[in-house]
Amino acid sequence: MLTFAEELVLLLNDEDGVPVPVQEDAFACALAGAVLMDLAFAYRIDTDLQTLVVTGRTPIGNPTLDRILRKIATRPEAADTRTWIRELSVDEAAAIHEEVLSSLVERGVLARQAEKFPWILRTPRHPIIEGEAAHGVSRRIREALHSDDIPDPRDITLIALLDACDLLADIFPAAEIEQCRARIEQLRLMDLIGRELAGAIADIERTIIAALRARSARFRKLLLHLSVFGGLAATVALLAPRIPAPDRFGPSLLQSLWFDGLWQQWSGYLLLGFSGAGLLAVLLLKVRPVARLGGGHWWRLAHVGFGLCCALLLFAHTGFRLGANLNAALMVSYLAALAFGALAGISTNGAPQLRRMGITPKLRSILMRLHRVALYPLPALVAIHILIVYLY
Amino acid sequence: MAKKAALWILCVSGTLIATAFVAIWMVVGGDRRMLLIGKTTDAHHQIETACETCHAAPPFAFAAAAAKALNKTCRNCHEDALQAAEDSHARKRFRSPRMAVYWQKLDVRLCTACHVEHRPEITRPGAVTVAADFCVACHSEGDQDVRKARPSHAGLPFDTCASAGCHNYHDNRAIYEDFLVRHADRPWVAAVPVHGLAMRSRNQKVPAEAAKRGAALAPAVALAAPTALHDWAGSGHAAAGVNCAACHAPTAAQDASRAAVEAQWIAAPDTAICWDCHKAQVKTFAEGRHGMRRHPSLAPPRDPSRRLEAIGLGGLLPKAAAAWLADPPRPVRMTVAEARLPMRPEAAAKALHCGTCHQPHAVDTERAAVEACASCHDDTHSRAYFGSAHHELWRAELAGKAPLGAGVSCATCHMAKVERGGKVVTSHNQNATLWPNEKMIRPVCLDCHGLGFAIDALADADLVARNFQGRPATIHVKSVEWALRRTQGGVHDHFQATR
Amino acid sequence: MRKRPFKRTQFALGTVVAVVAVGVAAEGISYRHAADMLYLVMSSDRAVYAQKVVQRLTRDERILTASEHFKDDSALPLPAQMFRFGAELVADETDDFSYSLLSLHPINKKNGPGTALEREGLQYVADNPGENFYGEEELGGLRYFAAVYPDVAVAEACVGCHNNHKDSPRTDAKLGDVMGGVLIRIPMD
Repeated sequence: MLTFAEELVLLLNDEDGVPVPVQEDAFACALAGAVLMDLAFAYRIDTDLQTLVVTGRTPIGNPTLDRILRKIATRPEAADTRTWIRELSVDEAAAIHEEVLSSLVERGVLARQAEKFPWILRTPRHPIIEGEAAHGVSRRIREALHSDDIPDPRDITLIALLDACDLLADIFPAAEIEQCRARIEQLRLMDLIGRELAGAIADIERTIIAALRARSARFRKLLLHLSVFGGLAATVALLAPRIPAPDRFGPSLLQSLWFDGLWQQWSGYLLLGFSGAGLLAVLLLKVRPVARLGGGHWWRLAHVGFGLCCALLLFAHTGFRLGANLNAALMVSYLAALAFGALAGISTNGAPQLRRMGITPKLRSILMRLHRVALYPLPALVAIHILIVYLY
Repeated sequence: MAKKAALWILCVSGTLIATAFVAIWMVVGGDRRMLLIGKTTDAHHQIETACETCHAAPPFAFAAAAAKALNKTCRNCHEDALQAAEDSHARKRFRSPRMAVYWQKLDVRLCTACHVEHRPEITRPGAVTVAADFCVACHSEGDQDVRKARPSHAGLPFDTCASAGCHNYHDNRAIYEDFLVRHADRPWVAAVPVHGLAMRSRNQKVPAEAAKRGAALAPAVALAAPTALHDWAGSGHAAAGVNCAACHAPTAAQDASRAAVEAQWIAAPDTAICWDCHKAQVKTFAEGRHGMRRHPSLAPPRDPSRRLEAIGLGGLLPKAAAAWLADPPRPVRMTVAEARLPMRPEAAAKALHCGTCHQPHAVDTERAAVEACASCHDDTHSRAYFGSAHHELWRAELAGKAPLGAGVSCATCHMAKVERGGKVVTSHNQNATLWPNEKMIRPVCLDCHGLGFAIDALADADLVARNFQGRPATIHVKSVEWALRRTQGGVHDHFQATR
Repeated sequence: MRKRPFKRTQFALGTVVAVVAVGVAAEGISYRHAADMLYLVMSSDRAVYAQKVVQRLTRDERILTASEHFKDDSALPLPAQMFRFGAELVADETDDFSYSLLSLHPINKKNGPGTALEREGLQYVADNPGENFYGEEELGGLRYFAAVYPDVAVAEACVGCHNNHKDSPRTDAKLGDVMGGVLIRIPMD
């Protein structure tokens, strides 16, 4: 039998063995919750309002569960569920993920392939070998969602966990999940397990929801607001008439900014620097050791922040004038990258709101792709732009 | 995975290849139009792909050196005109270190202080890229404060100095104070309005002789052309004894036999042949917008193999690549289609050379002075000419009802006659009297009109558009009155000989 | 090269003077000595033009006039204009030295004192007849040696024009008065 954590990882592993992109926090909390739920199902832990207590120390036989159980049991002072969810999701999520993957590989469910290129972003992929085990989980969840039968208590628990972490819509089509909303609520209310166990599971679930809300809401909201602000600013700047060059002789900030060679070089190189920093932030996010630090939120925030700075610097550098020929191509490409970046930011961080508006998460990946595609011609165009300045 | 790797390889190599290609076009040769950062100013757009004409500094030169080299090239083409204009702010007047305080305000030692190319947004009339009130930079402080030095100027805004018809930055020959005073009392039109140089020029014209027909020396097939012989026989060329061979067989000896002429016959000689006899005309043609693509200061197309040698890669260039790296052909003739003024659509394909306005055999200067212009130009000013007082005078002169030189053709004003070494020649630089239009006052307007009237008329844009049908009504430039008021008693000149 | 005979004559004078300047600098002669020699060339040429050309053709032989607007009037340039044209051409050709004709009472305001040293020097030569003024100043980031030589009204024509010109701030000049000064600047390394 698979553990909750293993089922979770399988659900979030796509056909090619690449992890489905989800909010890291949600995933980390889900992993932490899954481990605690397994321990609860094995009657090794129980929860009350104040503390999470160990009710049995006999190893279960699963190395991950046993390691976490030992960790909880050997802690001298008592801690509540919230503390453990936070600690496990921050300190242990990456290790749990790795152990779960290894375990699935050992059992022949998944294979492991090292990504050979690009070297700096090496992330292993885990293609499915044993389809029955891998696909079985999602089929079971689907059946539970669509039939009126009474499903297995473990499946109900898994659905509740996924729902608490808002991961259902990342795994299944969002529209499908919306249709099943009533059934999900119904399943969560089903009382199929012993009262004590049910209490512990519900406690873990509640804690996860609260933790996620507290931890990620701040960032999500900030990111969302920044993205919306960037998008609005870009729209206004693009649609508003160009600010004309001043028609008075004498020192003028705008005239210097837009028509003085020295100022242009400063703003240009700053723009280049900030663009590079933005790119670096997102590349580092993809490198696991870095992502493990701070859970990725800060890197994402840095990326969006650099993007906003770039928009401001672009205004300083050009006044959003398109220019002509290759300069115009550069501007269009850069503006498109900024605009799609802002939209992708909105669609990522405003996912729940957008889902309520009936906009599918598929939009996000399209926007992300457009954001990347708009970036491809930039290095060449920037190099040519700089060459033109110094050669003529 | 392979897909991702391929994408990365594609992206990196694409960047490198695209950059390298453009860099090669920049440094070695090839079409550079896509590198233009903004619309080139009128006139310069004709030569915008001859980048090295202006961008003369070596690549990656320091900013100061590059600016110096660039500004030097301006003078290659414009120095003569500035000298002729007795440039009020000549560069040489600002090079003394005692002018250092002004360099910081506006460094007019550099043409680019006020004229920056490829900046359409801040380019104002006259290719000026500083705000219209630029005079404020130096003439608003200390001894140079015009508002103090000239009480009449106390409340005038600085953006009107050079835009109201009173002053120009470079050319003030017709509007400086003593000149205004000296010509203050002239009536708006002279009692006998005749353009002196035009009169002399038209008197030089030799009447055509039909008898010259028999003298034409050309192959039979050429003589059989429908109008060539007839046109030539009535032309100034025939009258001056310029036979067919002079243009069609320039290598033949002066008294060559018909056979020799036939042997060296060129059916369609290049216009360069005109240079042999009409040097002043061809030279000035290249100074104006009609012929500036022939200006000797233009940089020639780049030679890719020599450019490669210069960077130590000589001999590495395959033949096919050499052809591909060649600069795009640079036509020496401006076409009507490329003009930025309104032109007749049917003339779009015309390319400008001597024969465009002067039919090669008839070389009719009367047709070249009006009809030739109107065959292309289609702006309001050009259209309004027909039926204007100036046009009526021209028709009267052609009909013999007015004295020679009384008519005003397009060429009278835009290809003004000039005197060189006692001879009257037509300047083919249409720009010589065009911008700012006060340039036209002395060589053209004053022959018939009073100075005050001419200043007012030229300052009235509507009147100019109507081709001077009517009188200046809305605009009156007060410079003559102000000059008189300030100089009551006139100019004293103590070197005047007391004959 | 374009042919500009007028410029060429002027350039010849400028070149002679420039050669003197560069030559003496190479020999290690003081800035003051170099300026004195330059002034001697300038003042001599100017005197020759004033007496042998202008004075002779206008006053003695009466076949030409001299006029501020010499081109329009087909006349001779005034001696002061002649001097200034030379100074402009020298400025166009070299940065090794520059000179100008200045006055505390200029007809054209641009020839008034423009720097503190110019004012001091012009005042000094006006107050101390027969003496020259020497000093140093910094302009546009460069240090210059500057010498001011008195310019004395030597002919009735000078005085007359300066007293009667519509733009002249001074109307009481007499023969022998210091009208202004010749300023020579040499950049110091």
